[in-house]
Amino acid sequence: MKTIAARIGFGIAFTGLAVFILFPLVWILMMSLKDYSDVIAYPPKFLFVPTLDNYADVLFGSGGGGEAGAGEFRQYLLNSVLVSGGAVLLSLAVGVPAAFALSRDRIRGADHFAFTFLSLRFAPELAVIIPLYVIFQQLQIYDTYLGLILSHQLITIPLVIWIVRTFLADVPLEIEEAAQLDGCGPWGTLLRVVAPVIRPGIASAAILAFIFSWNNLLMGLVLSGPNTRPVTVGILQAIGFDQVRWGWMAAAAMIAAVPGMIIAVYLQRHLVRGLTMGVGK
Amino acid sequence: MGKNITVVAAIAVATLLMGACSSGEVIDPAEGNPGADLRAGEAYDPRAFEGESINMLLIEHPFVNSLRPLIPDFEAATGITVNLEVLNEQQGFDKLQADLSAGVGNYDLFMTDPLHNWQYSAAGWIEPLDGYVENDAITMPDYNIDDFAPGVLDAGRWNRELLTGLGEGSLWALPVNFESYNLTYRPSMFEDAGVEVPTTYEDVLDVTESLATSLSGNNYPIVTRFDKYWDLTYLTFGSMAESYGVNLLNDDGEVDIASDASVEVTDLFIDIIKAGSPQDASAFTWYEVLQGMASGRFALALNEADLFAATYENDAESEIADDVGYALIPEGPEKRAASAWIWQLSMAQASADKGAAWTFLQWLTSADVLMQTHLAGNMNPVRLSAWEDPELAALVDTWGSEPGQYREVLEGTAEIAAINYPPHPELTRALDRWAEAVQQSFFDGNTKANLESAASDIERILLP
Repeated sequence: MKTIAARIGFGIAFTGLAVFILFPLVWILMMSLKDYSDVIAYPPKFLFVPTLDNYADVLFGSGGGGEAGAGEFRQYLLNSVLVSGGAVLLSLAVGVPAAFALSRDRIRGADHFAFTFLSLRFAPELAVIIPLYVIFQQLQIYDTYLGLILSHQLITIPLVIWIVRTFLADVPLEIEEAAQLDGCGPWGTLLRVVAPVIRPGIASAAILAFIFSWNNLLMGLVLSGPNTRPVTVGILQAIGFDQVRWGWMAAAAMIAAVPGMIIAVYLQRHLVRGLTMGVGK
Repeated sequence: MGKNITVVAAIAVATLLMGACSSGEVIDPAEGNPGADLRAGEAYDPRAFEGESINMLLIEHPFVNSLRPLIPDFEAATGITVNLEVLNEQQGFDKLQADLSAGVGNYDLFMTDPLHNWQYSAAGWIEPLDGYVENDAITMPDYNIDDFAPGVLDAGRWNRELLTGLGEGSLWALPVNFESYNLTYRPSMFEDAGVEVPTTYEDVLDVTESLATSLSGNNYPIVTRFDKYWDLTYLTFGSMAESYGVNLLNDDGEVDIASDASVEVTDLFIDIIKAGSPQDASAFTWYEVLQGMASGRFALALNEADLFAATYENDAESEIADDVGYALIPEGPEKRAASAWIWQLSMAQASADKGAAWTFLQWLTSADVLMQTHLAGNMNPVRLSAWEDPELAALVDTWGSEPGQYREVLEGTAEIAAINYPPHPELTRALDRWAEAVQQSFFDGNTKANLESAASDIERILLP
């Protein structure tokens, strides 16, 4: 009896939690399928005739705000893919070796270095954004992909270093020593032996870094212009002078979530745990 | 709002940091007469700055869409390239402040308004325009600055003395449109209820109560914005308070928003809303007003923007296109008063291409070009000659419940529309606090105490 009651209780709690988490997503999905009068209807409508007009408008119509030209939102998507993709690749190229170097106390004060990198995550972006804006203008990398990719390193590098470093801590020292005995230098050890073992760590760091980079608003708002405007700034252009285009905004948000999902699903297959279990025995 | 505050805080910190790093030199554009010597002695030549390129930051508004198709003509005529960046209001002003405060000059020209410009001009971030206007070498011969409605143009002037001097001193901006506030009503609903259009605020309450008994279903008597934001106390409720003789500061320069008249007008405003608005009225912004009125749910929009008429009269966006009328803003015991909101254009002090920027600015604010924007939806006109254009007059002639009604109300409003607050860079903070007190009184009924508390906070903001 007790078990059944516990199960029912668990089921209720689980359902409650699932509704709590999923309701906003379902609400946005519903809003993206409503026409304007259904969106602003009061009391809110749960039964309505769905329409794909908002999606068509986002993908093939003009921007949400006063921007001219068809398909602007597709350009915003492409901009975000290039910036977030580029930011993650650069962070992996720099962050994984950095994490490796910092992981074995080979460097005096490694923990201090690692903490300094992490502190970039909890330092507010607002503290650096204005100086960055001035510097970017002077270097003429304002409103360029390069500039945005570099600025996003503030977000992505600390994530990569700390996640990869945690995974490296679980890698037995013996396999590195074995690689060195076989003649591998530090780079060889990292690339041929350690990296394949910590693939799940690299994958999860890449997913998280991509999502954080993708969701960033402030860098895109201040450091990009009309040429590199990312999707986060693009979505907000649905807030117009005369109305908030809720349907357009919801459809844009649904579409903007797709690349993150694709990356997560693609990299998920690398998230296999226990690769190193028993390696050192 | 939270984000806004953090952005402002960051800008303040960054400005301090950069100030500490710089040479400490304060650039004051009001020194001298910028623009007066540009191309001195030469004849006006639209191609004088050929090959240069300017950047302009615009705020999402019908003005932007009316301007966009005209840009290629300007580029062809002058050889100057114009790059536009359009953002919505909050993001646009955040980004503009970042650019201006850092002195970068990425944006040569930008859309602004008197409230923001009091911050920018006090800080020395924008260029006074008198020297440019008066310089025949860079301003087209038939520009005619005297054609601007004097009150609207003078809203761009300020001598930078705190809490005084509006309309005096340097010209910091040129206007491109203005809005004021009126009554918009549904003739059919008024007829069904057997009530007349109100002419005083007491009438508004009576009419609201009568409409409340005659309207059915999801329809409500009245709608007006009521958010905790400075636009309430600056524009809509602000117009009503002014007509009751309530001023932010009294003649002795003291904050005077907790006077008996202020309590009376606040209570009446709250009574009107409680008598005729939905329960969530305290969260209404101008979006809810515009969309709610256009959807046909409300009988009367109180003290709302007159240029919403462009939406109401467009049957693709409105359910009420053939059932809407306009009337003058109601009269208070002291007078009839209407605030004014003016969109303007200013030039950054840090702009590197001021000649090209001015060439564009004077072209855009010339009578011909402004007229083209008005015909494409940029309302209301800021030049006196605009209404002489038969095409523009015909455009609005059908607006309202009888021919010429909108135009007649607009002309009546234009006679009283004014900026009723003293210039100060922190004015929005003060008005936010006042709006908060009005809204608090809606919930707890302690109007006097709430206004007194706001008054003492505002004193600290404006009169340190």
